[in-house]
Amino acid sequence: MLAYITKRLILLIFVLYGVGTIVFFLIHMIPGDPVDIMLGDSAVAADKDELRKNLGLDKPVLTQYVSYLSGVVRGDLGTSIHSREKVLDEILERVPASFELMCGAMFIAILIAFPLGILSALKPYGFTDTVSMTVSFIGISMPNFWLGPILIIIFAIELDWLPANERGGFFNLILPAITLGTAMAAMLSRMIRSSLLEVLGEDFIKNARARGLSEKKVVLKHAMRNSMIPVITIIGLQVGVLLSGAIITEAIFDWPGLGSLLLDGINERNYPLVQGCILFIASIYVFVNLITDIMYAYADPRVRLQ
Amino acid sequence: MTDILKIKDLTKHYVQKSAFFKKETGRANVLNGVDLTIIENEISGLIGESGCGKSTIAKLIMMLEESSSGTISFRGEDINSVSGRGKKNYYKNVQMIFQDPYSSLNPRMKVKNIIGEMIRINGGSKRDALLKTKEMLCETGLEESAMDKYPHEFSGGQRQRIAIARALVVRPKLLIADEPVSALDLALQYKIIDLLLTLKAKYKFSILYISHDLNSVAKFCDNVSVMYLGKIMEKASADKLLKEGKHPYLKALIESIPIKDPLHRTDKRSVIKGEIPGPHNIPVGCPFHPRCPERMAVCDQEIPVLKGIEGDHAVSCHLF
Amino acid sequence: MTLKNVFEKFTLSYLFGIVLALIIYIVDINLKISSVVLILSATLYSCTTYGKFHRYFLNKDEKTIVLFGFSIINLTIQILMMLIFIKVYPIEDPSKVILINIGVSVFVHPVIIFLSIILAEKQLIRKGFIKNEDIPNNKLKKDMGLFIVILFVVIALLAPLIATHDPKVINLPESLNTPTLDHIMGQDQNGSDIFSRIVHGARISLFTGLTVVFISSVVGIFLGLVSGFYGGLIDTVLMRIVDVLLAFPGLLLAIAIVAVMGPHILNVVIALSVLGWVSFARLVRGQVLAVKEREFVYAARTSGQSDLRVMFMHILPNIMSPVIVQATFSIAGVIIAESSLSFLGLGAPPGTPSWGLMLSEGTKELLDAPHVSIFPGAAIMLLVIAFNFIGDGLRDLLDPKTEKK
Ligand SMILES: Nc1ncnc2c1ncn2[C@@H]1O[C@H](COP(=O)(O)OP(=O)(O)OP(=O)(O)O)[C@@H](O)[C@H]1O
Ligand SMILES: [Mg+2]
Repeated sequence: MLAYITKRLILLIFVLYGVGTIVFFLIHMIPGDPVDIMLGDSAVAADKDELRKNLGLDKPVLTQYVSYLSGVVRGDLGTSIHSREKVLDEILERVPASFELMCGAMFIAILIAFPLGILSALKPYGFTDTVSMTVSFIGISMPNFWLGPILIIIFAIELDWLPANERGGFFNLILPAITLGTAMAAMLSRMIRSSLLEVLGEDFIKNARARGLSEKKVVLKHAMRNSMIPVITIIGLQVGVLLSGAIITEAIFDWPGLGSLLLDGINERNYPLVQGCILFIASIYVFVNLITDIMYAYADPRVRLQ
Repeated sequence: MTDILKIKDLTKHYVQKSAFFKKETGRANVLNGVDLTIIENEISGLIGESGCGKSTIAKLIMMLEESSSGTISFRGEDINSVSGRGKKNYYKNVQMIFQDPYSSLNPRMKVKNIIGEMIRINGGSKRDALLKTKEMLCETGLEESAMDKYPHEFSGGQRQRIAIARALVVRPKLLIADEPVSALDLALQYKIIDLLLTLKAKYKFSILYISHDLNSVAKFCDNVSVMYLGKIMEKASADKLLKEGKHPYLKALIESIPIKDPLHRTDKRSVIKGEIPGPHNIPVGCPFHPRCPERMAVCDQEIPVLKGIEGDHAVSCHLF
Repeated sequence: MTLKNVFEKFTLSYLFGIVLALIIYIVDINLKISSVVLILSATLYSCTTYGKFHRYFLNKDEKTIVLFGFSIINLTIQILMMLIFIKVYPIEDPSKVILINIGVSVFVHPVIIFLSIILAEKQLIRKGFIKNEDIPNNKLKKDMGLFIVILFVVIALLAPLIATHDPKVINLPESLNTPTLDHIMGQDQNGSDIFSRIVHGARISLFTGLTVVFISSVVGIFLGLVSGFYGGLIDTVLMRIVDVLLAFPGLLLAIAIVAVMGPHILNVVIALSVLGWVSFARLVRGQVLAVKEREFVYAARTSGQSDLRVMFMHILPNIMSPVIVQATFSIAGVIIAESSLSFLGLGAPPGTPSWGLMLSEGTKELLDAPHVSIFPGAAIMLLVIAFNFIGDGLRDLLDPKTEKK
């Protein structure tokens, strides 16, 4: 187990290094002079020079690269252009909102997916199964930037039940969380269904049935426990979908999270902030994946041996 | 009696490495110093138990993998030194047919392309390819209508015929046959072997015939090498081998051949004791010594070498 | 019960629904209620007809066309009825009713068709007419998806002919007008005709989807083949690059690239291709590793042909099925990704008739003019569902497990 974790950690460092490199070179992909674009054409020459110096753009690329990476290692993601605040501070300020949204979405997804998946698996190819799998198919195909507006029309405008803008209390969270969580719920319910069906075909389940346990008990007590491993992995992998889906959801609902910060950064051409956000989100994703993998390996020893 | 292929002290080991530091974590010694000679126009047999490295030798001869040490020379030229054009030329002279007729033909290609491709690769025209394919199909006992069919439309025996046609259409000088009939039923086995013999008489080539069936090898080959755990234990002409087999391993093998009359099958046979060790833990000294009924003190100390005892009969055992 | 009987029975119930709707409409002059009745009767009709018809056409290929024929006839009747209502009794704002009617039909129908088909099959299985394996569900799914995709391709190719207006004409006085006979999907915030914009938008979505998947599959197949075939250093390097690219969740890297390169459809294509090849390379590599040890590959390698020929002529044809399935799903993914980027203002430049962009502009007017965002959203979803259908159907059809049956 320890060897496995060490191996994963080494890979993690490598991946983070790669991510840092890509993020660094983003600013060099800008066509033309990045300083001109960031400050606009009307900026004064002195300002431009100062910014160029601050960003280190006057030095050779290799020097910039080294100092950028060493800054990242020390937790210094640079300073934001207009506000002159530390990028990391600006990011950390937005984390709670994003976290809240993702937890909400995850909660909604689990709330929808488990009953649907279990009901489908209890009577595969039956009526409930057909309906719920059709619904989940639509859920997968429905882009969340369309679902969001529709939810707003129905629940916020026509029915006027729920608020639809900005962060606030519990009720403000419901619509954004549904918007973000639906796709995950759809994936998850399909996954739960198929992994339950697989487990239900195995011998120990047949034994449990032979012992005369009721079907409900068999599924809920015996099969569920054994089919959870792939489900956990999917939940882990779906965090990535949530992270990038959150950018759109936050844009729809004016939610003050990391996604909005990234979009603000892009609109203001505040590239250090954009770099910082992307690095931060990718790192979180990498860490979540690591934790999922380790949990998975812990639960299923075969994985460790490859 | 000139050699067409000569293998000297060939070894092959697979090394398992850890993903990051490339540390060696395991090693499989599949071939441990093999000497083998194939003579022009003869059929050389190679037998041994499953996992002893027969297919590995075939792969090395076909340059599908690289040897760890030792040389394979084809008509006096080390095959390690050929590349590019030479390689293409080598494959024109040396061809192989495989054990499993169900996986040795590309399922997405028509028979005419499977065989014709060999001609096209060697610079033949489309017409040429078509003509020779037709001819070869007749030669191997298939209908001309087979041309436009896909492999899955044929039976196992027919597929092996296609594989033979494919290998022989370029008129190779050496054919490696790796258990070509072990996937077929008995009646078919003899038919395919007959076919090989007929074609050999017509086109004049040597065969390396790999098998684990001592009986058929003895009938069909000119000379036979017996292999155990990546080493040649004994080699002799085929008729001599069954009658005058010297090595304890070979003797045990001969005794374990099923006797036709099932009533007399019991007791007398001394089946080889113990499990065959894997390539991961080759015994020190003679590889056969842990299972050998005639073990001596030197056997777990020194590795015996292949010594000629008379004519082309050679044994690798401390007893001789 | 013969085919004719079924047909008559349900045509009658449909006609009954239409008459009922007319009566309610004439007596009450309530357009809303009568249109609801109309939708209900049409729904009931399609549900049963499709189900019944599917039973009869189960083993014949023309069933898909028949079903589509019916759904189109169905839709036409509904629209005609609504137009008659409005012509006979002019009413102030009838367009909204038509809009709801069409919208509901377009979305409810595919779902109903599927549910009814599946239920009809269930019944047939239960009664022992067919076995579970015989269900050509996946083929049907594939055909249906293909039908919608071809429809959109034709629309995209003939966009200038089909569009009723110039999609770029700005007509501010008529902005946000609801659908009329002239502007069948209404007008957007600039007064441009939404229908024409959607027709032209099909070009953008299909162009991005097909180009990105083409580029990424070509690159991914090549790298995957080389990586799986040779192994060793090439493989290690490539897989580490893949690891790094996969560290960016979903659209993040595409957002980053488009953010620095500027909003342009070509930049979107580049950004999505940078990510797109990864999944193909991984898939192909895994497949190559599985196929590489099969004996026909050995045979090919010892025939004297070049490695490239072995890879492309012998290995590739044998691993193509999963690649095609993946490509189909990828097109759906890319269409959503392009729309998402455009929705965020990072994809198509302002003014382009991209569905994502139209949708995002429409959401600003959600309160007053929901139709501005509903139509482009529906278009995206329909095309995405179509590609996903094709993918689902192909996956099951090409699956070796089902192939053997
Ligand atoms: N790539 C590899 N890595 C590690 N070990 C290998 C590899 N390829 C083959 N081996 C080992 O080499 C040994 C010999 O394999 P080979 O296929 O040559 O046996 P064989 O004599 O042809 O047996 P059979 O009669 O079953 O065909 C086997 O024990 C196998 O496990
Ligand atoms: Mg073998």
